[in-house]
Parts: sequence; structure tokens; C-alpha cells
Amino acid sequence: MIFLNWLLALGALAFTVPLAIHLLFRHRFEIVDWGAMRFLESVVRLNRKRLKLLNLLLLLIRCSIPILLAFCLARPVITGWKSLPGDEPVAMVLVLDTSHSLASAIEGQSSNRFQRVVNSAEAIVTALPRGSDVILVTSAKAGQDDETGSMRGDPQETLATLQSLKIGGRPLVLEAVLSEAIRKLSETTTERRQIVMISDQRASDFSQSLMDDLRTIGERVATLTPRPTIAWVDAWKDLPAMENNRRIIRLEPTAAAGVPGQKVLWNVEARLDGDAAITTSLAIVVDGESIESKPVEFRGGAANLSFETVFERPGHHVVQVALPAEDGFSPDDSQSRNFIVYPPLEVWLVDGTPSDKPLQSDTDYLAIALSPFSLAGERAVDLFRTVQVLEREMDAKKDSHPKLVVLADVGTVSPTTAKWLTDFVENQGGVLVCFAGPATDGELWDKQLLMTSGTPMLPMAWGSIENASEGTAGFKIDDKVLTYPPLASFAMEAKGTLGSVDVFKYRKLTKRVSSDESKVVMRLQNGDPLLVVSSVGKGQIMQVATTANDRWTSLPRRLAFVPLVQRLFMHLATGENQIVTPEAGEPIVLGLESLATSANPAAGPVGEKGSTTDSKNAPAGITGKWQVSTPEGVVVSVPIESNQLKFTGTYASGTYRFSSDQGDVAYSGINVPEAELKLTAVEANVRDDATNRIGAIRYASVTEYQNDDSTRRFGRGIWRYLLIALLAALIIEPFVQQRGARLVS
Amino acid sequence: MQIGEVLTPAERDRISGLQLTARQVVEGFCSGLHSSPNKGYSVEFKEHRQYVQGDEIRSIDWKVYGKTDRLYVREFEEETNLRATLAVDCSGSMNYVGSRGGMSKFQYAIRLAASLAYLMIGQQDGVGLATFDTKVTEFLPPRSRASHLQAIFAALQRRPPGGETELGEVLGGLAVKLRRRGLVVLISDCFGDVPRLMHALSHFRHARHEVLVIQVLDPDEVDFPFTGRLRFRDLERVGVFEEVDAASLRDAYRAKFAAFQKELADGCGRARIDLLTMQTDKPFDAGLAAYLASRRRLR
Repeated sequence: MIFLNWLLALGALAFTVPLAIHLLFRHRFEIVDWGAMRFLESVVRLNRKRLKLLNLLLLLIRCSIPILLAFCLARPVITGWKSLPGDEPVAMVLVLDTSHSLASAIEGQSSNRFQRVVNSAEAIVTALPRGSDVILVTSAKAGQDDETGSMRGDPQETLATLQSLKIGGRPLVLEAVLSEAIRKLSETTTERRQIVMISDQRASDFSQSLMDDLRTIGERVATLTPRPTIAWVDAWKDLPAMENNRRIIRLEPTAAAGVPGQKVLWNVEARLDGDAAITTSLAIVVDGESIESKPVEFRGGAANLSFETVFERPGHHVVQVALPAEDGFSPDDSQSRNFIVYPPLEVWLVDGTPSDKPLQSDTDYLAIALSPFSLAGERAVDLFRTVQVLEREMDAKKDSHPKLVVLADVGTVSPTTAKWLTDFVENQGGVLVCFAGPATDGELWDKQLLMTSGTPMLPMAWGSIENASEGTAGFKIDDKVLTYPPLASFAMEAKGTLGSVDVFKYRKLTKRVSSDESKVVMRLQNGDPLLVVSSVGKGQIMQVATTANDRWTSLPRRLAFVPLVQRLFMHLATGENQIVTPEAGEPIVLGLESLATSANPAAGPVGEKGSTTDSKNAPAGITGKWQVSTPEGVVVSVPIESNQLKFTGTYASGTYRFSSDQGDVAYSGINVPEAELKLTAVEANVRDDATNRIGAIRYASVTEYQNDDSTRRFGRGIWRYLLIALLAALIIEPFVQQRGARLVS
Repeated sequence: MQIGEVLTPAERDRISGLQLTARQVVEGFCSGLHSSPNKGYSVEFKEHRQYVQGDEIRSIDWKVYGKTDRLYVREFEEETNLRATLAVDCSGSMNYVGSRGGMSKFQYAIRLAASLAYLMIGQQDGVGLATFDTKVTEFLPPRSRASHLQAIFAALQRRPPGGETELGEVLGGLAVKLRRRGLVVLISDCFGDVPRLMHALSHFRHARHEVLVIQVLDPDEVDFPFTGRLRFRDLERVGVFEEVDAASLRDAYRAKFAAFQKELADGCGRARIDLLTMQTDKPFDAGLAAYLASRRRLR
């Protein structure tokens, strides 16, 4: 037990006053020689024992009054046997959940839950003893490699940091934040160590894999010496009222990518909790600039609307829609979508057996699939611009710099063409697509189409023609597993549109021993390769075992042909697959090819700075110094690494503007993580199980934690109990006195 | 020891005018104020009875013979002197001197005894004395000589009070010594077991003694006026004391004392014993005079 005002405890010595009075007057009696003792004895005898007890009790009460008063003023605190003094510095890792879900408003208050988290953290830090070491770990940055994942300092520095803390970043990953906390805590040398975690404890934060990880973390905590205490403070407390909450649940373009001048239709779907009829407005923002506001009318809790955008400049763009932040939860009021506008990509279609008749040439189907609108004579809105080229003319037209070259059933190539193709693929980063056919001469290909190293350029050797058995429809494509990104959406589990394709004939592809870069991205059900992709130098080669037209396969006549070709060729040409919009906490990665189209629109449309095409179509723009402007208004330099512009500080949702010192601009949007939009509290048993697994103590509020921590650090303050006892003694004393007199009489 | 050391002249004057008479017949050696069980020659005719052989001829009432033709003899009541024994309690409790000053109960008892002795010797009655505590310490048989008064005074002064007492036991022993019926005056505070006291006094009553109990009390013993923390030291038993908050005991003490007094009065009433309670703050002669006057009226 310790005393906060120990000097006042000396006042307890005042108990000696009643004791001394008692002892002194005990033998100080006036003596009376008495004759009628028999009457006195009979009266006194009856209650003598009880009288002695009462007198003793009275003495104790009178002695206890000054003791209780002194102790009460001295603020005694009961401490544990092993507890350390209260002013011992503490090494505390303060883990804060700063995820978007905390943006939910607290009913009846102007602040939201995030502000409550910050206030709680401030209260905890303020109460820390002087000299304490505080390490702040936020959910937004925990687990990242850079040093911004945590902040270490004294309580005052931490308070300053807390003042500037903002909501955002990635969702709370308990395993990551706790691992970070343990790692940081193990670096401290203070004997007394604590981990205090304040989170909203939503159901989406607790997965089964997390529970397994938490057990491991609990074991790691147990091995630390001295073992830290883990306090888990619930910032959720009360479920947020979600009535009349409006949210954007979908924003999708009708095209995967666009070209300059193309009208892109966007579909928006919004929902309203409840069935109230509400009319509001939807702000449409493109590349950070508001361009339009459309009315939105919720009927039956849903609203759908569309709008069009036209991008005149190739590059990375962002379209964002936002509802007015009038409900209690703003993160789901807006959504962003990245969109890439490419300059038209020139594709040479080299036909092995050209024909004037419709759909008789090897590349007719490809031409339709790659540029369907251009053939109709409309404005050029196709991503690909196809050019029919004869094999012998290729060398002569090489200055037009195609992005892709398709050789469909070309028997062989001339040495001049072969040399150009080698340079096109290896050095210029071009894409060569080779379709098999009856005229394809594998031996000649291997002799003439060589890399600079002398080895055959094709990833696999053309083999014999395999025919389907008579009476059967043909070979079937194995669409069970399609992991190549542009093909993933065609897998049986996804759409299953390739399962009905028949391959009547194909050339058997044989893997070369030296070809390590080749990758079979599509097979027949008999296991033979159908589609092989290989990186060669800066470029790529795709080898197809069957024809490009319907001579050997029914694929060109299938609905899946157009999107399949579009996605395959776009992926090969741009390196992009499905354009994704990262969530907060995920890095923005702009690839070299993408940046090239943004910074230097080589093939046509004019870029923002109006630069023209250079001779090599090189991504000259990305060589400059780039910086990013975040939605919070912060400008940060972004280095170029591995031909990529990568920015990890995606803390807030919104539009990020990348710009170079040469005037090039690119945009990327960041959405609130979808998991953060589910405001459902975790079940109590799951929460308690998680708490037990890491050996933590759960607190419903920071006040509860502070009381417990105060008890643990200082012990339990008992002055209130002493005050009650003092009052009781003051009340009981006259009662006992009267009771004693009554007993005597 | 002279009478002046016990009674002041004024007290003697007041006492000398008093007269103590027995309420019942007593046996004495000489004629006096009190009825005797013996019949003899006296002026006080008592009754006629039939003549029997052996009666003196001169006692025959011839007038009655003349009227009735039967022989009757006349009998006369004999008057005799009183044989009184004063039993004075000399126990420690009698030594109490009240908080209001004045004399102790024992001094008061001495004066009472001296007054009674003086009074009875003066009317030719015999007076004896017995002082006692746990046993009879002094015993003077009744004498009617004037010189006997000096012996009584000396005996009263000889022994200071002290020690315990048990009235029942002591008075039982005294009753054996008093063979002839007379008056027994017990002067005591009577602090003891009342049933045993009454049992002892019944011995006197069976022996045809008239018993008068004069209870001497200090007013403190009646109203218990003490306050504060007091140590009451027993006057009879050495080393026995009670430390009490006096004020808190007062009511209980008074109740207890009143119950004792009632028990004593009831016991005396049942045994046809006169109980005279006197407090030491009152003049003993006045109280004695009032009692004797009432006694004469009741005779």
C-alpha cells in the first residue's frame, strides 16, 4: 500500500489521543467507600462483560476516527505484491485503428468514432509517467516496409502526432499490427511494457485465418521477457445508426479501355438503407475536376443512372462519383474508377493465304475482332487499328512502327523480314503473334526466325498436324484452369464460354530445351499446348497451335472470340489486364507502358503537353522527375523503379495526380476498402476468443482501461471506502455510547 | 464513657420526655409500665374465675358469692418492667459517611441506641446491648440499674465498625441468648439477604419477643446522587470495588434499592415487626419521638 500524500498519513498518529485519554482515565477514578455494594454489584454484574466489550469497541471506534481521517486525506492505494511504483516509465505500443469504418458518426454527437479513438489515445498518453516511451502503430501503415509504419517518441511527441492523425489507409489487419507492435516492443529496454490497442472490432476484421495467426502471436507474446500486458479497448461500443444511409455500390464503364474521343458510358448503382423516397444529386468528377451533377432519385431503396464521358487525351484517368455526405457514414458515399485511354495501337495482319472473298483469309476474323467499329466506318473508337500487310512488304513498311505483328499461317519468312522481326521483338518491345496453319513450315521457321543469340525465336517448335477423329466434333479446350490474366474471365468457373469451342486440327507444339521463358497459357483437354506466350528481349511472342480463322477451329465463330482477342492483344500490347482501382493502403503502380501512353502518346492523339511522336516510340516522359499530389493536398516525390512508378502512401480515398517536371500527367483513384464499408460488430464469442488467444484484456472503454491500469500501476485507491468507514464510525460512535449506557441500566 | 460523649444535653432533654412502652406483655423482675404475663396483686382488676381448692380464702369475692351462691376468686393484672435488648449492627457498611457530610450510619446508630437505653433506664426498664458484625461481639444482658447505662455506652464506643455481616446468622445466635420475652430493637442498615433476615427475626417472634427494626440509611444510599467515573470501594470486603459511570447506573440502582426496601417492609409487615427507617440527614430524636408517639397511640 502506498500513500499519494504520505505526509498526511502521519495524522493517523492522532489515534493515540483517545487511546491516551482512555488509558489515563482508566485509573483515574474518584473513590467512594460504599456500603450498599450489593445493589451496585447486582446492577453492574449483569452487563459487565458486555460493557467491557462495548467500552473496547468504543475505544476502537474513537481510535479509528483519526486514523481513517488521516488515511483518507493521505489517499492510500493498495498495490499488488509485485507491482512497480506508479511513476515507473512505461514502454507502450499504442496500436490505433484508423480505418475508414471509424468515420461513422456517433449518434447525438458531432464527432465520429475516429475522433473518439484519438481522444482515447490522447487520454492514455497523457496519463503516462514521465520518461515513458511511446510507439504509435496505426492500422493504416502497419506491416509496411518503410519506417512510416510506426512512430516512436515521448508522450509529448506522441500527442503532437495524434493531433495530426487522420482517418484512412488500409483496413485493420490484426496480425500485422500486433506483429509490428511486438517487434517494436522487443526493441525497447524498459522493464514495464504494454500494448494498448484501440479498434472498432468489426466482424470483417476477424477471419478464421486471423484466429490461427492470433494464436501464434499469443505464443510470441508469451516468450517476451518481461511479458508485456496487452489491453484491447473497444472503440465501437454502440452500433452506428445506419438508417437512410446512402452508398454507391457500383461504378462501371461499358468499355475496358478507351481511345481518345471515344464516348464511354458509365453505369452507376446506388442504394439507400430503408425505403424512403429521397432525391439527391450525384457529383461526377473526372481527373479531380467536377464536370457534372445529376439528380438521383431513390425508389425502393435503389437508384440507377448512367452518364457519358469523353477523354480527348490518352493516359490514366479517374472517374469519381459522389453523393452528398449527408448521412452518418461518408466513406461509402463515393467511388472512383480508373480508366486508361490508349492511342490506337497499330496491328499488322500478315496473311499466309490472302483471299478477296469474305472471311476466307486467315486474318479476316482477327481484323473484325480487333477493330469492329473502324470497319463500319465510324469514328475511330477502336483500340486497335489493323493493317493488312503482305509478308514481303513488311520490311518496307517498318517505319510505321506497329505495336503488334500477326503472322497467320505464314509458311516462312524471308531473311530480311526475319531480321526485322527479331529487332522488332527483342529491341523495340514489339509483340509477335504466330498462328499455325497448313502452310506453316516449322523447319524453315526455326532456321530463319532466330534471336540475336542464334536460337529459334518461337518458344516451341511447330510439329505435325493433329486431326480430330472422324465422327467427333473436335478437340476441346481445357478451360478448367486459365490463370493467364486476360484469360481468367473465360475459365469455366467464370463464364465457361470456351468449353463449346471445337478444335478440328492443330499443330503439335514441342517445347524446346533452351526455352525457359515459354509459358503454356491454354491447353487442349488432351494436354497439348494450344496457346504459348514467351518473353523475348523487350518484347513478347504468342504462338497459337491452330488457325486464326475457322479452318481448323470454331473459335472465330464463337461469341467469346472478340473479347478474347481484345483482352489478349491489349494485355500483350500494353501490359495491362483488367484496369483496377486500388483501395486505400494498396500501392498505385503505373507501368512503363501505361506511362508511355500517358506521357508520350506516340501513335496518334496529342498528349497534355502536345508532344509529338518520337522516332523510337520510347517512353521519354517517364524519365523525368515525378511527383504525386494526394487528395489531402500533400505533394510527394515518386521515384521510378523497375520501369514502374510506384506510390504506397495511398492513405486517403480520392484522386491522386501524378505529374512530371516535363508536364506529363497521370491520374489514379483510390477507393475505400470494401471491407471497411461493412459496419457489423464481431460476435462476442469470436471477439473473446481472439482476446484470449493473444492473452489480452478487453476493455469496453478507455475509462475502464485507465481504471484497471491505474490499479495495476498504482494499486487500487481506497480513500472512498475509508471515507465511508469514517462516516460510519462517526455515526456508530454515539450509537455505541448510548447502547452501552442502555445496557448498563 | 460519660453520657455527654454520646448525647448532647439538648438531645437528652428531648428524649427524657419520651416513653417507650411495650405493645405486648413482657416479663420483668419488678413492677413497671408494661403488662406482665403473671397475675398478682395490683390495682388493675383482670377477671373472676371459679374457686378451686388451694386458692387463698382472701381472694374469694364474697359479693359475687352473695349474688350467685358460687365461689369465685378475683384476679388482678400484674404490671412489670421491660427487658429490652438493643442489637446494633457494627458491620463495615454502617461506617458509610454520605457525600453530604454529617455523621456515619454507625454514629447515628450509636446515638439511637444510647437514646433508647437512656430512655428505658429512665423508666426503670431493663436494657441490654448486643453489637455484632459477623458474630455477636459484645453482649450485655438487660439491666435496669442506672449504672448499667455507662456499660452500654462504653460497649457502643468500644468497637469501631468494620467487616462483613450476615444479619440472619447473627440474629439467630442472639435469639438463643434471650430466654425471657421482651423487646428486641435491631439497629442496622439491614443490607443483607431479606429472607434470611426475616427468618432470623421470626425466631424472636416465636419466643414472644416484640421486635423493632430501626433501619439506618444514608440519603446517598437512597437517591444515589453520584455522577462521573467513580470507583465504589466496598466497606465490608477489602479489595472489592466497582468502577462505574455513576450517572448511567442511577436508575437501575434506585430500582434495585426500592425493590429491596419493599421486600423488607413486606417481610416486616407479615411478621408483625415494626420497621422504622431513618436517614442520617434527619435528627434522630425527632424521628424517634414521632415513632414513639405513634406507638403509644396504637397501643
